[in-house]
Amino acid sequence: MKNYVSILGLTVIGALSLPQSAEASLISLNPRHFPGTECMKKAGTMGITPHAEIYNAATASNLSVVCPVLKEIPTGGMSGTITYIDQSPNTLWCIAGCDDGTTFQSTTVASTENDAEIHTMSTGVSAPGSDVSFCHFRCTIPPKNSGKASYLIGYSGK
Amino acid sequence: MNRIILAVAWGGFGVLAPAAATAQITTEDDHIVGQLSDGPLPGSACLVKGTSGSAHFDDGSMANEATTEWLYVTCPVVSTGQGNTIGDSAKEGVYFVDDSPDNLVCTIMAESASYDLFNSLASLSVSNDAAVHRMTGGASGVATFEQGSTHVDCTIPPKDASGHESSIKGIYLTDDGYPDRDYRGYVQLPGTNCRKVGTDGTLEFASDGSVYNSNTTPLELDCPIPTGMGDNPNNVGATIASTRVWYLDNSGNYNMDCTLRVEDGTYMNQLSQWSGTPSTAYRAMNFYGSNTVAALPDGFAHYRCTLPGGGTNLRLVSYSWVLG
Repeated sequence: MKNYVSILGLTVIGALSLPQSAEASLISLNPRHFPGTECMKKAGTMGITPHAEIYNAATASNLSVVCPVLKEIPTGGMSGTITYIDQSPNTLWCIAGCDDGTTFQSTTVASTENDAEIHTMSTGVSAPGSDVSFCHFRCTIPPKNSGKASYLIGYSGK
Repeated sequence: MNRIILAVAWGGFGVLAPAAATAQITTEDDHIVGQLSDGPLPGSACLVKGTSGSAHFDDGSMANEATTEWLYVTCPVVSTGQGNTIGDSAKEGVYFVDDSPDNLVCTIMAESASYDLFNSLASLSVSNDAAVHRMTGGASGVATFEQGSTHVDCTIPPKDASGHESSIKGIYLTDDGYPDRDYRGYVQLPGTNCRKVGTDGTLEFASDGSVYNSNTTPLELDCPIPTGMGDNPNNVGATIASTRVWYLDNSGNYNMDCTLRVEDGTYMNQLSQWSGTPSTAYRAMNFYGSNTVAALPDGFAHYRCTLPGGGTNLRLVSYSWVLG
């Protein structure tokens, strides 16, 4: 049961015409891509490159971030990918989580790379329920390795 | 231009939508058919305002783990800028947990891009349990503006005496109409979704969802853009004049510059624009038409802007994007 009351509504007068469109868009669904800068720092030292990538600027401690996923269909679970560079012998890993208010479900995925290449890892979370669900990635980026940083370039989900 | 406010009362009650059938992209009732640009965002997308409270967002929601202080957040809503109402269809709303004897308050704000106008609706939670509840836009919804942005500002109470936290689980408000082909791939976000880069400048959030620099050292911002380039892999802004950064520049000595970048880790396409002579009008930097930027399949996109100073007279109001 929704349990709230409205205390105030504010409005201004500003009539603008609504758009008129003619065609339906029934097309295939594609994941929504976000650059790494959409992620929120939870703990650690986060750097941002000119290319909207985020990286761990620290030499000893992990960087932990939470990355909100913009789903295309509001209900159900989520499938997504994380694009990254892992230049550390330690693990860059992410938890994909979805919460529909009743159930929280998650999946963990981890990188085993240790090079300067761009990699992508895929993951998914099954539908917690049939109501609107909110999904995110929580990622841990390892510290620099001999001066070489690890990056979260971007991520996607649908 | 000053905001003109007319206060009206509003009231409405409802229930959480019952479990629906498996999501169908042909379910018009839920706006799912047109659901190509906007969608639900978890509470962790909200930005903390000020220093009161203690944000806790490990599980994707935005909770206040302080014991005495309130937490103030502003939550960007990804909108399509179509000018349709929000909060009035099944499943739409602000999803929250109010496990406190105090009240959780949220205000849905629909802002005009080109005028200093807005529509808003404030709601007050009176629940005190661990269940997820939903605030809606009421039976009529909240009217949005064409190419305007939307945000939800919330005040989250502190933990109760038993240590129970209150939180914003997420927000799902869609202004995506049906049919919406002209707006396919369009997204609009308030300036508050931009991230501060580096240590210079002081990022401030204005009540209208815009941001400004209260310092005299330049503030660099990165404004992430949600894209689905596979939907429509044409160039950015090729056919629709809506790839823009809306701004206010009445600062005199300062100019704001922005660069739209599309990149995939290997390639980058970019285009820069800047604000012009001072004016009290809300204006837009345009990144469309002859200023087209080439899309990259599976690429990422963002605006990178610099606000050298100017306080509230130089503001990044919102930003938009569309694939042509």
